[in-house]
Amino acid sequence: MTTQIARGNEGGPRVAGEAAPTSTGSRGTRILGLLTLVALALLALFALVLSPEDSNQGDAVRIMYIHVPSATLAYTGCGLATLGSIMYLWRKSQWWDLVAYASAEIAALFTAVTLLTGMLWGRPTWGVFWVWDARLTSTAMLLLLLLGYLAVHRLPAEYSVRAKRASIVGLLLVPNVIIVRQSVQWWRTLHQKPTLFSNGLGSKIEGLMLFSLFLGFIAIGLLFAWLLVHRFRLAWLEEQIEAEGIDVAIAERRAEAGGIAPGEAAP
Amino acid sequence: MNDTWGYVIAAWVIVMGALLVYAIVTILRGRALSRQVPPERRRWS
Amino acid sequence: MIRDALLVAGKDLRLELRSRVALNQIVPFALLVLVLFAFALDPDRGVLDAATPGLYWVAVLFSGLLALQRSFSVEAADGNRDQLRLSGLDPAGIYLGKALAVAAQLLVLEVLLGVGVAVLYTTDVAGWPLLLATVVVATAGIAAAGTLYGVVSAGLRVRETLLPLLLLPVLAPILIGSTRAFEAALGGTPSDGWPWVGLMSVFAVLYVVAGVLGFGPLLEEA
Repeated sequence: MTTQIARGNEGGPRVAGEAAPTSTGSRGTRILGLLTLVALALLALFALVLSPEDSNQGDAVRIMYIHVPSATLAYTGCGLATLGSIMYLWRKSQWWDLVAYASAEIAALFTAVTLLTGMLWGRPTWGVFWVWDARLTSTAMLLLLLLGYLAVHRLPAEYSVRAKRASIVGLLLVPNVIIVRQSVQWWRTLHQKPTLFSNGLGSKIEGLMLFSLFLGFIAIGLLFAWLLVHRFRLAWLEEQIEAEGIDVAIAERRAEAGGIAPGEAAP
Repeated sequence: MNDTWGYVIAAWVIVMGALLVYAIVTILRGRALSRQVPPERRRWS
Repeated sequence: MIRDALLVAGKDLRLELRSRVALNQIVPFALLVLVLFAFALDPDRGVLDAATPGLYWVAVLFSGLLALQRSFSVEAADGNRDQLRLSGLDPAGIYLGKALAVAAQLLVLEVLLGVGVAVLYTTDVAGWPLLLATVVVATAGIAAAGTLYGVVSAGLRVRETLLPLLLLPVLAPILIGSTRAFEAALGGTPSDGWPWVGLMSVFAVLYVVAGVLGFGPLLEEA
């Protein structure tokens, strides 16, 4: 399944050549994409074939090699979104706002991946898809907060309005995540015995398993970077078109008005 | 044990599939949109 | 700033006193929610009893949302937003004023709901100080965060649907905290509830600061 990802970044850009890019790809992203593919293939090899099964979790541990890195990168993306929002409010640069937007969207994607893999790991390990554990609950809340930010950024309104409002929401993203996490943590630990994770992954990881996890961080990290670059460029194109669209519409309207006015004045 | 493998495979297939779809959608939209934007506004190459 | 805040809060409350939308519609709605909970959960088997604090705060959150939307739809009409900007009032003052007005309405709502709960669900109270502290900080938190997100979604066609999406996840700590604190105050040991009051105070302070700083830029545009 990993080879299929190649479709994402081969073909078009190479044909298009040097003159003007006709996609969101560039030489740098093609190299990055290639590295990502190699890393993902290696990860699949190590995680699914070479690494041994865990003494507690059995084969379910193989899910962890994508679960843990995705969770880490989801939080990274969240942090980037807040950083971008702060920089946008400070510098008023569209670049930073789009960085925040792109990383929030990818962070939402990775949060969803984290939740999904977590559920599929939980079912064979705990026997249930979902428990009201502190980590699970706060991750779900993180997804909802990110969706809120994205909803504001996608509002049908002028760019400056959307960007400013989204930046305020983005600015509060990390504080919210922290305070929600804290409250959920207390909520669960005050009520029932500490989480089921305590004897989970942390117990003992050595050798090949540790290496696989490390590889997971590299592969998913590269994928994150690749997606981020492409998503950022796509967002840039979207905003260009929107700005352009308004310019064109205004120009057309002016031309129209200019064309009619003399005609009406004649008689 | 076989049961567990089912979940492992499901997790990998769904995740990789979802990421693949997302990547393809991003790329395709990028291609479609970059045709509408004049080259000087596409700052990478 | 404080003077401006009191001015804006006074304006909002006077508006409310004259129109009585909150009294005539939001309070009945809140009571309706309480009755609906009684229908949904069997009152005879103790389910309702155990869930009372949570139900109370869920009812407060939902009716609070209505009050918040009301507070901003008042400003949407007749270009009031621009007039607020032209009035020369300090944006931070406007923010505090609106939050104060919302908080005052919420407090009235909470007292009425509290009476409703006490009568309908027959609840006994053990720790009064904790109960009062919880009500005060939770109200401050809801009003502070709600006013900030209210202005983020104000003036847009989608505001009715956007505000709950933005606000409810953010208010999760308040819901958890106030519910746990109420549980402690009603049946449990009151000392369990005080950390939650602390957490909610941090939340409220965070949002008051964010609102005071962020309201200016938000009011400038649109």
